[in-house]
Amino acid sequence: MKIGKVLIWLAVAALGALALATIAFHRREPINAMWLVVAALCSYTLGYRFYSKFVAAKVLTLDAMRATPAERLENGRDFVRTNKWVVFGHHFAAIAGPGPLVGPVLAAQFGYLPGTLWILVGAVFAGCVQDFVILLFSVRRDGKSLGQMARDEIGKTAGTVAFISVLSILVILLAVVALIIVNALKDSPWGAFTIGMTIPIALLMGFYLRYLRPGRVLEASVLGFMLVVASIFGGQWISQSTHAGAFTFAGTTLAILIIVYGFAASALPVWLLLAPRDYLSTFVKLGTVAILALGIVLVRPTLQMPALTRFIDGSGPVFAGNLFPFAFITIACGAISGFHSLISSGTTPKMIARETQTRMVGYGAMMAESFVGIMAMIAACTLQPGTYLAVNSGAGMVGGNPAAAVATISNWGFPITADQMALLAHNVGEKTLFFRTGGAPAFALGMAKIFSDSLGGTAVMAIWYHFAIMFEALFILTVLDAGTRVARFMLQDALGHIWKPLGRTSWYPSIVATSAVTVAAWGYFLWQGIRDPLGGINSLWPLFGICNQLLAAVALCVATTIIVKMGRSRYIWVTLVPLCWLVAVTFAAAWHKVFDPNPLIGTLAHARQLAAGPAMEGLQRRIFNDQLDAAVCGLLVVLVSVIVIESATQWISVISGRRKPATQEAPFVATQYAEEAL
Amino acid sequence: MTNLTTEARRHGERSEDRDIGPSGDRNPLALEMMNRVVQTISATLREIFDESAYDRFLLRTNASRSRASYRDFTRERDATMLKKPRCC
Repeated sequence: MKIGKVLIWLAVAALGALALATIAFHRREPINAMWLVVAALCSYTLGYRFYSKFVAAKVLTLDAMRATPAERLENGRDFVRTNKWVVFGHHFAAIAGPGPLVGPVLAAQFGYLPGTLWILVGAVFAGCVQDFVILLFSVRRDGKSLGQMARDEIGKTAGTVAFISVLSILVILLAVVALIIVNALKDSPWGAFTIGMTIPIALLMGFYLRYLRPGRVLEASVLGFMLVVASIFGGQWISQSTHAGAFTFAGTTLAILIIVYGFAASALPVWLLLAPRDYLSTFVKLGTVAILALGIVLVRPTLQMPALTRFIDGSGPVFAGNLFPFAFITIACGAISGFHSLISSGTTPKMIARETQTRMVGYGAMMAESFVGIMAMIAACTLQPGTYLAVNSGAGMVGGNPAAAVATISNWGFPITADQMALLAHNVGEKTLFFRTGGAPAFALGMAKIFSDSLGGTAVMAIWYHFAIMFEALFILTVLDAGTRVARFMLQDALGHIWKPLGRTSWYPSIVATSAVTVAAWGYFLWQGIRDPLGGINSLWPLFGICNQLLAAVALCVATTIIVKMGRSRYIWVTLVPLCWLVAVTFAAAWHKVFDPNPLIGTLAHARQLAAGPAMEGLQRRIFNDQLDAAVCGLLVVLVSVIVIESATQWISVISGRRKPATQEAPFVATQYAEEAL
Repeated sequence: MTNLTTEARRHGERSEDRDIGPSGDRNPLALEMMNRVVQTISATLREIFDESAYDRFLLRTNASRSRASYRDFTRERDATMLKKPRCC
């Protein structure tokens, strides 16, 4: 390396170290958010330039001369050689969802420091590596899915475990995202009207694409976006009119509406609702993420949240649990997410033109996703801590009414008054902002603050707040309808082995029956969350985090097994260390969720507390719900233990020489584009 | 000359000897770079929003842009979307 380059990289490292030191050791005064941005950008740059290059060269031995499935199997449909930047954008759009926005907002209750460090370290050494290696291994296996790779490389049991894990995570995920949306929209006629309008807008787009301008998706998306923006202003008018009552819904009513929507979206034709909503959501997502990044750089907000709060001891009102392990399962998508391994072994490997591009697409897109997590952390931490806690805490945690809540929160050392909260609610066009758990409203408030500081001031804060709510809700509804369909498809696929007609995706009775089962499964957990006096998120988000990170553990088991079989055992630590960390984190979190004696954390302790308490309506059902949560958690841990043990047995037998290493890679074929590859 | 597919060209990939424009004038570097960036963003959006996929479908089936061909395309694409989760 030339001396000039060395000096530049040393300067980047020094700047990154300075930013990280400022974040970690500055305690007396609030710090500027730009320190987080600089620390993140330097960490990503160094991670990409050095660590990912090391993994690419030494561990995976990427070969630019090897033909990818997009070249060998090119069919103009699934397998298409595509420009690397296009694949990067496509992959990023697929992996970016509400997770990196919500997780960091919830974890901000510990302060900005733990979450930020986990996002940076987790992404560079675990999340980006997972996405990168799974993408490459799928490319080398003709674009096989994670489940297929688990079955081929580890064993049949592993394949079954992967299948059950994916289905479980989908059910829990859908319940959690539905709960977030309910908590954001309850008693909010403005929000409910805006989000409600996205359904006819999506249907209109579907008809536009099908009958008026076939295939002009970008055009239809721009049109849809303009209509959605118009509906935000329409929502403002509704909320101030006599019709407000018609759009003011309690949490339970919203839950029923969302369950009905989920069923309809799963059973209706894709072109009519799912596809246009998907396009609209992606359009808004890409634009808003770019605007948020620009807003943060322009405003350079100050972080009001301290580096560490008293809640690292596990007494947090947003969710109960100690810093370890709960911070690491709360933030999933910004650091490492098992769900990404499904995308990395889905559409993307079929588009990669050259093996060497997997580094940029897999590692690089996860870095971008991680940066979205950093932005969410900044948005949450720009709020006054008292405001953040009043919005994000359940009524059961801080007191049943606003007066009790502000007293509790102020006593914790985060002063806030009911008048301040009322003024803030008025500024964003809401009646109240208390007890809006789930992270979405807090993120929307932070985002509205950043946007209104850079454009329009307090006068337009309400518009920005509802724009942010619309943006998140659109995201979430897209996840909801796509997830319900995928779960339905998986269920049909499995039931087809029992009775063939059930597996036919064009047979309507099967579609209706499996859609109903899927919606009932996540609807049950949603209902449980809605009726939970602690806000629901307290029990469901950790469960989701555990599921997601367990899926990442499955992906890393597959990756480690393949690395061993490739004869690269000396580099096993690249995936084994993140795997061990995830197993430690998820198993510890699962143990706490099931057996912790604190009823706010342990579900069994909570069930015992309920049983010992006074009789109340629905007591037996609430006790059963706690036991069900414990059972789901325990089942997933057992399943992942099976896959870890099966994988470890393989590693030991290959490393000790008892078994001949043999991977299921597609045979080497030289690329026809050698000149281009060089 | 580098062997580029039609698809790659449409996505904005250009071979090295295209630095000199059709009129023989050498484009300023900044303009060329900006042009490439715009082309890449446009190609990315077209891929994300399935417009490129529809173009490929038309090429593959020798069909023209119409309601009927779009209906056939969506039928084919729906099967893929059914298996495609959106990430959390």
